[in-house]
Amino acid sequence: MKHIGFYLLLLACSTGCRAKVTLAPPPAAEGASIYQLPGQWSTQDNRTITLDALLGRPQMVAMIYTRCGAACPRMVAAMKAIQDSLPAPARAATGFVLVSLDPQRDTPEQLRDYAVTKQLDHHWVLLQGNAGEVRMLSMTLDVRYRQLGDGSISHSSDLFILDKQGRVVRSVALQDIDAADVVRTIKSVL
Amino acid sequence: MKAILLFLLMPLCAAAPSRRVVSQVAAEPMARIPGGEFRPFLQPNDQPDIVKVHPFYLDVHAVTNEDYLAFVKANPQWVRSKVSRLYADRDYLRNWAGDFNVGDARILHSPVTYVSWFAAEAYAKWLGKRLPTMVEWEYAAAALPLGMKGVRMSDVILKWYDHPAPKVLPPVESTYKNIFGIYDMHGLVWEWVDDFNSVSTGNGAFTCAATSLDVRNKEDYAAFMRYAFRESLKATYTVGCLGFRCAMDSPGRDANHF
Repeated sequence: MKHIGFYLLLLACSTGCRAKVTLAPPPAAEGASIYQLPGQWSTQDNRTITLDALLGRPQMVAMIYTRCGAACPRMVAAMKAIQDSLPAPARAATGFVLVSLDPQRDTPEQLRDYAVTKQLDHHWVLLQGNAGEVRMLSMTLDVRYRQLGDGSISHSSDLFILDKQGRVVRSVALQDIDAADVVRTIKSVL
Repeated sequence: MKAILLFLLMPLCAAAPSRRVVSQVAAEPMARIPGGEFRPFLQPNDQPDIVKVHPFYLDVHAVTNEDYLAFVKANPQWVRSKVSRLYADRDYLRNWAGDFNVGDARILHSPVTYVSWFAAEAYAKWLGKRLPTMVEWEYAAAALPLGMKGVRMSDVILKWYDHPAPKVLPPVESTYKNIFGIYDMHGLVWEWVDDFNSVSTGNGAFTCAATSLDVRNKEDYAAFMRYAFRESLKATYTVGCLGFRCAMDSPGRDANHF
C-alpha cells in the first residue's frame, strides 16, 4: 500500500495536480481494534474511561475541537443527520463519539456545554485525553492535524465507522459523505 | 526532481540474514541542543515565520538494531511475529532473521529500520524518552557539519540523495557530526518525528508544495522531499530507509511539545 502512496506522490509532483488521489484502505488494519490503545479519557460527564468502554455497539467517531468554526460544526451536523436517519432500533444501538483535538481547552465542562448547545443526546460521548493520547489516536485513524499560531487547529475531517469490537470498517471524508450509504454500513455491523 | 524522488524511494538497505547475534545495550548517548530561533520550511500563512525552540536533548545517533533488539527482548509484544497490526504493517523488522535475531551482523550498529511510528514511540517511552517534534528535528538537522563553513545544508543533503543506495546500511556515526555534536541528521536514514502527521491536513495541499504558497523556500527541494515523505507516511508504515532517534526535555525548561 505504501508503494501506491509513493507512486501517487511521484505522480502528483510530476503532473502538478493538487488533488491527492486516495486509494487507501480503512486506516486501521483489518482485525485490529483501536480500543487496544492505552490511556484514560474524560467524558463530558466527567467520568474517566478507557476506550474499551465503547465496546459492544457500532460507533461513529470524529476528531474535532469545540472552538472550531470551520469543518467541525459540519462534521457534527453530518453525524447528527446520520443518527436521525437511522431506523429506531439501529439508532438505539449506535454510539457517536467526538474526540477533542484541543485537550487543553476542551475540558469536560466545555464538552458538556458543547453537547448541550449542539443538542447531542445520551448516545454521544465526548472525550478529552492528554496530548499524547490524542496524538496516538490520530495516528491510528490517520487524522492529520496541526496547531496554528492563533489557537485554531488545521485538521483533516474524516468520519469513521467502528464495528462493535472497535475496528474501523469505514472512513469517509466529510465532503464525500452519503448518509444513506453510511447508514447501510452501520446496519451491516449492528 | 523525479530522478531525486526515485533515488529516495529505492530501498537504502538490503541486508541478507546470516548469523545469530547477541546484544548488551544501553540507551544512546544524548547531546543537549541549545535553544534558539528557527524558520520552519512549512509556513502556515497565519503564523509567525520564526518559532522559538527551547533547549532539549537529542540522541547523538539513531537507534541501532542492537539497541532495538534489547527493546524487543524486554517487551516481547513488539517482536516481529506478535506485533499488533494496529501498530505496525507486515514489513515490520522484515530485514531481521527472526524475532530475537537481527541476522546480518554487519547491521548491528546500523540504524534500525522497518519500524513504525508506534514502535519508535514505544521504544522511546521504554527509556523514559520521547520522539523529537518535527520542529526540534528540523532545528537540529539544520545545523551545519562541524568544520564546514560556507556550505549550504541543502547541497550537503542533495549530495546524499545523489548517492546510490548502499547494499548494507552503514553504521551510525558514519556520516558527519554537526555543530550540536550529533551525527547523521542527513545522509544515513530518514527519521520519524512525533508529529509527522501535522504536515498535511489530509486534503493534499502540501503534496504539491512547490506550487503552494506556504512554503518558505521553493528552491529548497531537500526540505521539500522530507516533508513530502512525511506527508506520504502513515503511523503503521515500516520502510527500509526510515529509522528514528529519541529526544528528552531539558530539565526545568519549557518544553517544545504539548
